[in-house]
Amino acid sequence: MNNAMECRLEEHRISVEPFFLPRANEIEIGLAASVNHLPLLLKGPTGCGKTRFMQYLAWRLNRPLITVSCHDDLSTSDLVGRYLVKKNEAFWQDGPLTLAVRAGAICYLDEIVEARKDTTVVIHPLTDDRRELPVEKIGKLYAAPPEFMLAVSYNPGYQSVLKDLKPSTRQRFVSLSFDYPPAELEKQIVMRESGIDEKNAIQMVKLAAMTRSLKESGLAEGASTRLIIQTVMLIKAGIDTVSACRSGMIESLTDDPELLAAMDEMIFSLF
Amino acid sequence: MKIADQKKRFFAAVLPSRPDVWEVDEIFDQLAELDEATAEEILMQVGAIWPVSHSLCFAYLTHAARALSAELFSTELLGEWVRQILGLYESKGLLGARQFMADVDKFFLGPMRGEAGVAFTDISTRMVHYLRGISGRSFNFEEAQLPSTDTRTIYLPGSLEIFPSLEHNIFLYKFLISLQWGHVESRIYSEMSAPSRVRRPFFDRYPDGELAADLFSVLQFIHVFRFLETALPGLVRRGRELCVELIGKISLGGTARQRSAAFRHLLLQGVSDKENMHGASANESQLPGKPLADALHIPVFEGLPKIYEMFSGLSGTYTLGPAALLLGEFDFARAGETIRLRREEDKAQFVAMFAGLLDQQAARKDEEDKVGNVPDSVQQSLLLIGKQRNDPEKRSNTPILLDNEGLEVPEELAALIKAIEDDLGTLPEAYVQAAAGQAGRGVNRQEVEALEEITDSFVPAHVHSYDEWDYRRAGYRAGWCSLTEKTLPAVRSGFVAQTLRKYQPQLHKLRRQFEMLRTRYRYVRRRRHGDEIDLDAHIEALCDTRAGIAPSDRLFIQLLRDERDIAAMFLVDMSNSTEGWVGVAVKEALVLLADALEVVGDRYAIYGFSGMRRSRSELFHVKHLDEPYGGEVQGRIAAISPKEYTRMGPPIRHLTKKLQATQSTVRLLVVISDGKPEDYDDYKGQYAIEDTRKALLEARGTGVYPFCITIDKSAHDYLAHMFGRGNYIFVDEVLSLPSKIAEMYRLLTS
Ligand SMILES: Nc1ncnc2c1ncn2[C@@H]1O[C@H](COP(=O)(O)OP(=O)(O)O)[C@@H](O)[C@H]1O
Ligand SMILES: [Mg+2]
Repeated sequence: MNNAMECRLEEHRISVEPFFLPRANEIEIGLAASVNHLPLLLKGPTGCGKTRFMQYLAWRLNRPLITVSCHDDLSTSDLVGRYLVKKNEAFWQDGPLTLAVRAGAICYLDEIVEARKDTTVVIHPLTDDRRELPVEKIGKLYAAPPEFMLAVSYNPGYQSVLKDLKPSTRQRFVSLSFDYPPAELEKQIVMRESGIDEKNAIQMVKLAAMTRSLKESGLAEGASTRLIIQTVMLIKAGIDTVSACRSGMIESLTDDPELLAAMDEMIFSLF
Repeated sequence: MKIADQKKRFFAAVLPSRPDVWEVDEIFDQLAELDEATAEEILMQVGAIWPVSHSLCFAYLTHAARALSAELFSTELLGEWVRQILGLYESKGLLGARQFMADVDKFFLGPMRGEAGVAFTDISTRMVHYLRGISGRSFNFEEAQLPSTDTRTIYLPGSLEIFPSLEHNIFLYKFLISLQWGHVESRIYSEMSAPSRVRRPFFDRYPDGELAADLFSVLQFIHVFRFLETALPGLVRRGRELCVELIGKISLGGTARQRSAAFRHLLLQGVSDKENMHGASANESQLPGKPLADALHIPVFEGLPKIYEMFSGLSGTYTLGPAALLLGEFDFARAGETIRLRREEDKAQFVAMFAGLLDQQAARKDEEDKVGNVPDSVQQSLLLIGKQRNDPEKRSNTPILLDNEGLEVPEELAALIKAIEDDLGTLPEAYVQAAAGQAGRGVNRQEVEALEEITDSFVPAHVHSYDEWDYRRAGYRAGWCSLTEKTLPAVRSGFVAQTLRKYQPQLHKLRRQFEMLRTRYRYVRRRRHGDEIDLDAHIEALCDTRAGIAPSDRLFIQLLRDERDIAAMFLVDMSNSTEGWVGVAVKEALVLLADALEVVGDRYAIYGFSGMRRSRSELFHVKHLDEPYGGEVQGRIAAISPKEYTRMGPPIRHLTKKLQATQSTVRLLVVISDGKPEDYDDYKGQYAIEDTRKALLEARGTGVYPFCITIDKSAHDYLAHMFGRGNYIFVDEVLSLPSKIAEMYRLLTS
């Protein structure tokens, strides 16, 4: 392994323990998956701790965490690697996936359904017991070391039927469900992350929970833990609570006037 | 002259019906007294009202002619007036709409001038969302003189005009709703309906039962008020003043003031701000200060005898006036019955779902090891769950796993278990046992059933027969239902044109939005041919060449149209319950949708369904998948009309089969209905819900995405179970239905 690569990898190593509050046995399951060389599927709405969980797991396992945010322009080369030319000489540069495989790191593909299917096929041989990555261009077949771990995330709440994960893909993974944390836990998370006092944290968590009940009224997704924290940050910056809730939380959720009015009523009931 | 022309057009507009000529003549006599343009405006609205109700339309014409000739309002307001008429017809029927039309000033112009009274229907949508937000579940709303609840429905006055400002009256609604929710949360109803409580009217134990009941309401109100102080502090902070004002209206006049004063004092004491004591009232009553305060801080049932004693020494009568709104009414018998029913439903639902899950698990196990004794292992995991769930320490966080392979409990079941636990404290062992008893029986019963059924079936060729799910025995009744496909005869009418006109502004927006779906052109990189050079690919190729490997020839960027390979089928409830405005709104929705879909170019079909009994399910063809949308289809949309019952299973299964046969990659089944499935025979209640649920699950199993849109006054608890969380929306405001459906379709497919 050359120096440049080690250098790139070190950037991905997490040295300080990330704050992560488990809601159930996700840490144990994550560790068990790692021991058994199984890939992980984290599913749940956005902003509910999936990324944070991966950071924590990487820290626990003392392995670098390489995250790729998927989008529909992502190509196989972006994942696997490509040749580059420097001073008239061509050299090969590993993509994040190859890097992770070779170094025994954790590769986390965030929002996997956003990538096109012809891109994500490259992960298939990594998800079954072959655990290998063919890199055609350099004619190599990397066998993943035991430390390598693949994790992907996916938000089942998206309403679009075009963005569903196929059962055949799904069944290759050990699944962890990241739903909104129970109120008590979410309160602690919000307090820890923002430094707000308990009383206000409770109210903010309640407001978020109220918005989450509106799914069947047509609200695509309720407020996430991240939105709560963001709102609290606004309040701490001196914005009054009602405006902060509106700008930090409610307005980000919908444009529907009836739903907005109803959520306004909720704010006014709580604060 | 002109009138004759208008009359002719009127008859054309109401085709295919042929109204009574005399009646029409009479109306046109009245219209003739108006100037021509005004008469024209009045007639413009006929298209909106006629399909809803003919009598309503005649009543409208008469009243409109009268109101406009008296110049009560101008023609610009006519549209709004009609909207409100239709709204009232929907909620209160012809009589309500007539009353509304008869007094234009009071019911229409008054509220428009910003008079303070507010009708609940005007704010109901917002309040439905609000209540769902704070409670996390859905309630129904119904009208009654005084607020009350049976734990499922909240009863409220139809309108409020207590305060001089509109804003305060709206707030009062919100406050009363929150109070009623608070009563449910306080568990007073489940406590009172527990078998340990004496069933006979509780307050009869007191010499003055009525006084005891009123005092109970006061104490319970105070109790809930304090609960709201912590649960919804903002609400109470803003509401305290209003409460004080209402309580202040308790009359102290006359000789009978002792008790009135005591009530007033007690209530003021209850709503006083403990952190800001100066808000509390001076004690004008003869109630002893300290014992009273103490009695307010103990549970209601312990406080009641103490307070009663204090009051019984006082003389006089009392009237509570508007403060009675705050106290509301308590009907424990009614609530007890509702709770009992709900628990039964919960149990049945739990048993059905859980048994299904166990069968699924058993089937899985079976595949793995062909050795028997599956029931044993099922039993074991069941007992385990029972134990685990009943250990409160572990409960909230453990995801329920049935075994080591991690057969996860579906979200709906988890939610149901949580609801049962919230209600009863624990998941009763008996429920789990009942499920275990039912599990495993499914397979055998099914075979028996199949044998029974086949004997009596002679099925004509054009009749399709479908199985039906019987949750009680966890098995299918083979070939139980017969479905016939028919074509709806098209009618000629102005319905489509009128709808397009009515929704002109929305239509504009819809078309634009759907256009964006269609024109999703995308630059695709790394193509062999294309409009532009893909620089990244080129550089990569150069590098590859330099590195001595064969470069890729995919070097171009091509502008590609995203192929939307979607086949959607819309299944529309044509049962008689859609009579009236719901039915019309659904038809309008179809018109808008078809218009929008023509813009995108997705393949779509429309069918209606109704029927009676299992032997006669009917599916009405409006538009087949690749049939062009034109006059004929439009005529069939216009012909959609309420027929018989709602047996949802067979048409869902039929369309699933149709969709399976299409080549499209995405197959969407959108069911539009108005609530519970129900047929003339025993297809109702839990049975109907479970069969519908099963049919939808089957659809999902074959790669069809079902999505349900349900139109109802409020969302019921069973919807999530029947349709599956996230697979349905409910629309309570019929007016917004057309745009909601189109919007939903857009979200689903983008
Ligand atoms: N269980 C948790 N422990 C600690 N922080 C959490 C937890 N869940 C959510 N958060 C907070 O919410 C934020 C968003 O979470 P993140 O992991 O980025 O969400 P996502 O699920 O979209 O990846 C985090 O930055 C963190 O502050
Ligand atoms: Mg994330």
